[in-house]
Amino acid sequence: MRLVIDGVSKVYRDRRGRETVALEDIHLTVEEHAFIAIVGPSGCGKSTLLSMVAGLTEPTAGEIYFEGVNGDRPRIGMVFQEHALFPWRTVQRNVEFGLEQLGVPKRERAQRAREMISRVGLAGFEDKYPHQLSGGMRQRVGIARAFVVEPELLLMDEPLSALDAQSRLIMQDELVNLWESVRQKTLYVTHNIDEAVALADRVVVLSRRPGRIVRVVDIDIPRAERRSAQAQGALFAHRDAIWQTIRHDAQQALVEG
Amino acid sequence: MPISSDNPSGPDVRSRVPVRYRMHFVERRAPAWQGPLGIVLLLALWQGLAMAGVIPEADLPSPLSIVQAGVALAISGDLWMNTAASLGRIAAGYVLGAATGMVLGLWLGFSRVAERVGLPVAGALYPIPKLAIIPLIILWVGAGEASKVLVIAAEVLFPVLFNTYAGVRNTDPALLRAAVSFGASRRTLVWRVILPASLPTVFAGLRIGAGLSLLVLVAAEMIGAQHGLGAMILQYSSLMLTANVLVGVVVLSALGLLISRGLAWLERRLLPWQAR
Ligand SMILES: Nc1ncnc2c1ncn2[C@@H]1O[C@H](COP(=O)(O)OP(=O)(O)O)[C@@H](O)[C@H]1O
Ligand SMILES: [Mg+2]
Repeated sequence: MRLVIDGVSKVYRDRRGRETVALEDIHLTVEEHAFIAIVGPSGCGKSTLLSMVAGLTEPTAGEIYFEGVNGDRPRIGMVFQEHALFPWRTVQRNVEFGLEQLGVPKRERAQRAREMISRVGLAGFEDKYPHQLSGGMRQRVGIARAFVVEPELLLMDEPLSALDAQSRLIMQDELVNLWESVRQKTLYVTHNIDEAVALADRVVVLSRRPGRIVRVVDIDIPRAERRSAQAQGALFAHRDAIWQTIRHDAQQALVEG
Repeated sequence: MPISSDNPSGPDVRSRVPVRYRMHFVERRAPAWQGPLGIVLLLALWQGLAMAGVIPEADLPSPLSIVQAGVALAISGDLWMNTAASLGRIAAGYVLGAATGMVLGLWLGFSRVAERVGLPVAGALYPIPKLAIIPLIILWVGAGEASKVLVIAAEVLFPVLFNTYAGVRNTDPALLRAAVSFGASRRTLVWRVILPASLPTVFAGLRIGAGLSLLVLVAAEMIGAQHGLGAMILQYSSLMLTANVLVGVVVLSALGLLISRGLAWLERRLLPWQAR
């Protein structure tokens, strides 16, 4: 099964009829087991794109569909930048949310949630409420909530960008491990080039508003080897290629505000 | 050698200026036992002035006289009867008003048509002082219990309605999106996301309503009731029994305190997830 984004555009209209073209003519196919990172300057429509794929925002033009689906719509697990945990649910119950929607029986639900909570390093925090956790812990809950449903499509919108630099690196590694154990197709939005290159098989670079695909970079180094000294040269070249593409846009954005 | 970033030239004790913690004035707290101090002092002062003859007993009875009057009223059964009558009305009126307010607030929150049509109606009815329509209510349902219960309910209804509506409409869209992304149905959104998310706002409305209900209760009982704290206060004041009047006032104060404490307790029990 694969995900096809076919000529999708999004125009936001405010009440006075003023238009903001957020995305323009996006074509993207996400194959089975592919980890695709979408990078681009802030405001270029990355969240909008993810949101449309999840069915939370309606495209203005174009179509988004799954090919080779047997049965229902595929299971989606989504991680949000601002966590979006339910404040009235404990860690355990937050992680169970997606399983509840899938109709997983109570005992199995509790069991699977507990296992996932412990895999993201939060064993012992099952009965805490979100307001009792640090930002990094909350995002671990968000990640656990998405992974526990064994999603056929993972959507992550800047999941690490609220974290400090060190937690971010640690979480990157943990995310790689977690992802390797599910290996499902993934759209990962970030504005951080290092992160994109560390995690993805393919990096899609969007231009400043209106967001258009301006470059696609394949990272053909196995994820496990990306920390090795030999890989650094090739990784640097990838990062630089992406940076040069974005740079012009980013500078323009700074000047224009 | 231990690693340190000490000044290598060594300490100079004479010119040492310690850094003093300067945030005490922000963080200072008063111990809990000081809580009743104000009330006790006020009562003592009041009692002292009364005993010294500064305040005439007929104008403002001393605390001790009020206690005596209270004991007498309690023994005679007068106090219980009137308090029970008031409690019954306030409970019935509050529950009726709060329940109706919540249902209507939910309706306005969930139905676009109800919102368009109902919001201006609620907005027009809300500012009417409910005491002003007591004569009308009496005309409709008679001067009995129902009129008092209804006027309390009418007063409580609006703050609960508006707060419930606002709670529903202001549900964090990020939570709705998260729920939908995991496949939540409309039903799940309503019961598992929107309702819990709006509960804190609903409770704020319940608190406002509680304060108002006491106000309307007493006024309604003064306008026309055989029993109840409002009626009792009016009756004794026309007999110039000021100590008895003040017994009623004290009971009302205690009642108000009890209700607001009770609601706070209920809120902590029902919404343990709120950061405070
Ligand atoms: N709900 C909305 N209504 C109007 N404009 C929006 C809305 N959401 C996003 N936009 C606009 O669309 C553009 C892309 O936004 P977004 O997808 O959030 O970008 P990114 O995630 O890349 O920072 C921005 O200019 C933003 O202001
Ligand atoms: Mg975004």
